[in-house]
Amino acid sequence: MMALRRRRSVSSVLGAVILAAIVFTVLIPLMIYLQNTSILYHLAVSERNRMELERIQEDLEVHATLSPDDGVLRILVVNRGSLSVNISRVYVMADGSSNPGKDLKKKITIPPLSGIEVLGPSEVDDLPVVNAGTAYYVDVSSSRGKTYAAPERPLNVTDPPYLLQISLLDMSYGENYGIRIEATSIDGGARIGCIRIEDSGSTSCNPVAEVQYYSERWNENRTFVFKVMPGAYTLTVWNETYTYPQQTLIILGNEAKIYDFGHTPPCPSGDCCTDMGASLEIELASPEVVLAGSSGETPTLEIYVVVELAPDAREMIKDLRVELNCTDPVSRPTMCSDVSITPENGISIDSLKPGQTLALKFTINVSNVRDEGDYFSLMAIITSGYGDRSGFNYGNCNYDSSKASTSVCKLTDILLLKRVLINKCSDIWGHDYCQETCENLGCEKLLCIPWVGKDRCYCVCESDVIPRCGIP
Amino acid sequence: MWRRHRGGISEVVASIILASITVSLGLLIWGLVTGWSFIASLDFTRETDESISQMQALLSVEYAYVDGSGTCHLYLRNAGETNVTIVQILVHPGTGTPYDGIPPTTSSNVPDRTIRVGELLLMDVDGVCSGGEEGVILEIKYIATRLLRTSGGYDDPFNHADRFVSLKYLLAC
Repeated sequence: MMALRRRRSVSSVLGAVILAAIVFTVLIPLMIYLQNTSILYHLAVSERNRMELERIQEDLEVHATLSPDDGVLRILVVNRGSLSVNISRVYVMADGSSNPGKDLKKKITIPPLSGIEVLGPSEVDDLPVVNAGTAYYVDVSSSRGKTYAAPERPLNVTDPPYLLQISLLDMSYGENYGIRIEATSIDGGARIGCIRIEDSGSTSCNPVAEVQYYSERWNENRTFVFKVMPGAYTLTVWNETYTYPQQTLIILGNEAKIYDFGHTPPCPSGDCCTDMGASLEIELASPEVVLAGSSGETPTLEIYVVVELAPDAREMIKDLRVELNCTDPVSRPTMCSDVSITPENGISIDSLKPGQTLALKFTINVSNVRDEGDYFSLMAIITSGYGDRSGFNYGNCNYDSSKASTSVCKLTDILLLKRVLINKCSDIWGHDYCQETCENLGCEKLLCIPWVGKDRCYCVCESDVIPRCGIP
Repeated sequence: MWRRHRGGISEVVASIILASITVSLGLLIWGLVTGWSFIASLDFTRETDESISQMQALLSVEYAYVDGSGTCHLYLRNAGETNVTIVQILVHPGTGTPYDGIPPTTSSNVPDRTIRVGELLLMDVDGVCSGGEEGVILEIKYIATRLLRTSGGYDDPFNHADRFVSLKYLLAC
């Protein structure tokens, strides 16, 4: 057994040695090599993933605008991402342009969370002067292969893309208010941006815009709209007594600012009747004299009640009801029973705003007018109405117009004696010239007296042209 | 004696013979394994290198516009980590079959259509938007230039079609 074991041991040992040699000299180096190659591959994969991730994380905000100083296009760049961005090129496409690509004069790196970087003529080659009527499309590309389009597409100097709304709240009656907006510099260089006043009719875009406004209401709210290019602006708002601290605005989109000048209460004195009474005026437009026919009735008369709320009123009156009342004269205590007013229950209006004037139409008919004439008085009163802000019922305030008296006249039938001079009363053939003359006048012949020169012909005529009026 | 005569060769000689055979077979196996592993590692290396090249190739359309004559001007930037060669630009109209926007690249014009890392190439594609469509899709096929390099110049890119990278870009007419 020992001999056998010794005989097998040589080749076994050699076989083991060879196997070990194969493992250590071929297989293990091969595995190490493959492992290294695999690591290289995974490194490349990681690198590509990193690049893609960086491309995703890269976030630039680009805006196109201009400087009012030289009229040359400016590009505002803000890095909203967490990675630095190298600007590689700028593209400006304009009407008729054949070469939109603009090279950079120097390397531009935008650090993360930076402020606004202005790319102007000192950074970019051949930036164009922005001409009115020409549309511009601006793009900025980065070294990571991303291209950012300015949202101002197209950029047109006659139509700035953004709205700046300045709201002035609770303005006081009778005061002047002013707003001034001026383009300013972002980085200490040229001013950036321009302004056009909306609804001004002008298409020019200016570095400065100023608006003044005279408030004709209490607590008036008004919004002023400016169209602006992206840029930096200083905003100043004032009234006659106070100027707000100047604000600097960076406009990269629509913007709104609100200034509240303080609320004025609806009844500053605490007595709403007195406060509103100072602003409310009621006037009656009625005829002073009307004629009634022989039947004792007048035609339909139109009476206007004019209700005016002055602009300085602190509040509007809602659900206002105005009635027209008749007052009996002393001489005839039942006169108003013969005066018919339409509408009988008055006229309601939804609201009466400060500065508003309304004319309310009533109609009246008068009947049973006495032969000697009559008169009556009219008065408009406010029977109800609620303050828009205070809720106060102004119907209890006894607001009324002055009393307007109207005389009603009636035409009375009377007989007139007319004397007409004629050549002769009659001729020998019995023709009565006096009767003929009286008939021509619509009268009846009374008598004819021959006279030296001209005969006197007397006619009796009936007339209703003489009015008799009641005097207030 | 009979036993000695019947024994033939000595134990030493027998051991030497057996050891020689074992060593020979071992060397043969070692050689085969070494050769196989060398070839396998070469293939693996080539495959890995091509894959890495493919991943390092990154092209982006930086800007594109169509002029009044219907020519599309493409600004292509190499945003990757290896030089790339444009091998084909296919135009996919809204309707109809795709067609070549530029003729396919051959081994002779590889240098003209190669973009170095970080550089920009302007390519003009004629006849785009000639059918009145609202937009077309440009399919830009490119490849890492180093995959085309041979000892005497450049290989035909279409011999490496499996390594093409495709970039599609929607172009408004």
